[in-house]
Amino acid sequence: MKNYPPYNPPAVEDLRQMIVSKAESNPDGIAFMYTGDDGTVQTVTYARFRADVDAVGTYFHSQGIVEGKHVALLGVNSYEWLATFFAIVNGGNVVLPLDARQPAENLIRLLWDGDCAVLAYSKEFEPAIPAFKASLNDSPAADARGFLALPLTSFSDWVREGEKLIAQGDRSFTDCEIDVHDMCALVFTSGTTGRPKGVMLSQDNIAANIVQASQSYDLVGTGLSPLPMHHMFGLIVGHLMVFNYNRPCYIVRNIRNVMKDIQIAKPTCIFVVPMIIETFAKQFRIMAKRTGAQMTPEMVKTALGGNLTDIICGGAPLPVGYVLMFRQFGINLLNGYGITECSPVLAVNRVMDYCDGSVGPALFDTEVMIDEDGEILARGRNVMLGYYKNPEATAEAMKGGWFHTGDLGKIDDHYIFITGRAKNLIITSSGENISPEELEDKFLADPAVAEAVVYEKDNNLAVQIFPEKEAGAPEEYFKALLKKINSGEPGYRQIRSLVMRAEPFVRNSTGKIVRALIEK
Amino acid sequence: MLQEIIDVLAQYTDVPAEEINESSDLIEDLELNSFDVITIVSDFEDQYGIRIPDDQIMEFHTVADIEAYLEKEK
Repeated sequence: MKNYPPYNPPAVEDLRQMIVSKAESNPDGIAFMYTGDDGTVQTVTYARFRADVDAVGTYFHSQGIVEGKHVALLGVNSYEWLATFFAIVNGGNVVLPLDARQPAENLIRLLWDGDCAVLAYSKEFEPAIPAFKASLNDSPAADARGFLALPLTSFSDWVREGEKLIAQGDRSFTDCEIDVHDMCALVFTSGTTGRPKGVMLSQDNIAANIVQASQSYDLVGTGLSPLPMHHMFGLIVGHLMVFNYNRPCYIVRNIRNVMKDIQIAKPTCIFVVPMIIETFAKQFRIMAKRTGAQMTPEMVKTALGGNLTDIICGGAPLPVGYVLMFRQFGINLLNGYGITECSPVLAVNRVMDYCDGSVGPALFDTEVMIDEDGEILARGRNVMLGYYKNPEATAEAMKGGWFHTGDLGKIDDHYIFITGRAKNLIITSSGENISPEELEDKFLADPAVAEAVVYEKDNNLAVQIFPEKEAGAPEEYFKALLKKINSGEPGYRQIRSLVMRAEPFVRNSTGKIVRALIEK
Repeated sequence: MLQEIIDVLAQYTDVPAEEINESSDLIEDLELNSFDVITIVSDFEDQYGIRIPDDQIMEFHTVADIEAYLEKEK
């Protein structure tokens, strides 16, 4: 339905005001829920959350983490991760949310490139900390103390210390001035070439997108997202938007428990990527086989907690068949579209305004257009400040005052359809962006490789190699090389098949390989 | 043990049980995604009363990998 009006979510001036206003207006309301280590369900009120953020932020200030320090967050989803996120950004510092599945060498490179002086980490990363310190103690960002690594297991100690300081009158954190237009988050994302680019987001960018997204979707009950918190869709939509709506946000601490968590949380909406929808569909099939009965809306609803009415899906293309399947079960599967550089959401189908196969209308207070080359361009408060220490890439992405998404699309009626990629980025069904050039560089560093192209085939990565003839290496050599490169990559970046080429790749007049001509 | 694993995978994937063997690759041959693997492994955990560490799950590439681990730990 065109012109369906926006919903009216609470306003967000900045991320501190968002917390303070809830703690004052609804102190005993449940902000977060999660299953603790002992298996019991823990709840955190808005007042407790504010107190924890204030205490940790004050403790961090007492440790010299002030005035724009870059602090990385590395860990699995947890309440402590989220509270620490706010303690960093609301204290005038900059957070770097890191992908916990990256191998240590990649993380060290991101910490170095991101000028990180401090890392807050969850216990799984304890064994890697000595290597981090050894590599980063002498980085330009580290002070005389060297690289500071703070375990999130000490969270309750930080709260205790911070509360003591506040009781003694320390207002350094709570009164700290925040410029909402300064960078508050540095998010590394696979660019279209070479090394990952650091997307600089401000509090204003994030606050704008929380409100824009909730103008298009009205959350009426508990929200749950199994997506990792370092993923901007998972963080800003799956957690912060739920928080701002004054609805309980259920934190999934381990994705393997998601079905059990859904039964406990009984959410009305979940926020997922297509990979999770695929798995739900397979689970319904197995349930039907085991019971010998067709799945009914009641069975699906029960399997998904009993209260679920909506699923918001983003991060990667979603086959329309799933939308139709869930509709048969009485659940709105609302596909959306976003990109980290836009904090991240640009469009989403709405309960009362949807078009199957599209990613929905553009969010309110954002502008989306298609340029003469078919590329999707965006403008609005949610568009990033730029790429960190990369003015060339920023200028290229922001040509003409519009952010160039790198995606191709069309707008029909007011619905946006994604038709392809203007650049070479590979997007997996779990919403991971993979730069093929980044992986290709690893092959090209080997003298036996003359040319290498990485591409997507049947939802997996594949590589074609044209060998350096003079090196004369046998195929086994390249299989071993592939294994070695895979061993340094997280699962979603591992290449599943290798094709040796007898002929070099076709190149265009400027010498670039023509990827469209590669036989897959 | 092997047959139990194959039966679960056949139900989950729609690949006939007779076409699944120890060397079947979970992702390439059975077209599972990483969340599928986690979900299936969680079912095995409940069935055998064991807890498989997260980093171990990432090492499961073939049916034989799951079988070897469950045989060792059950």
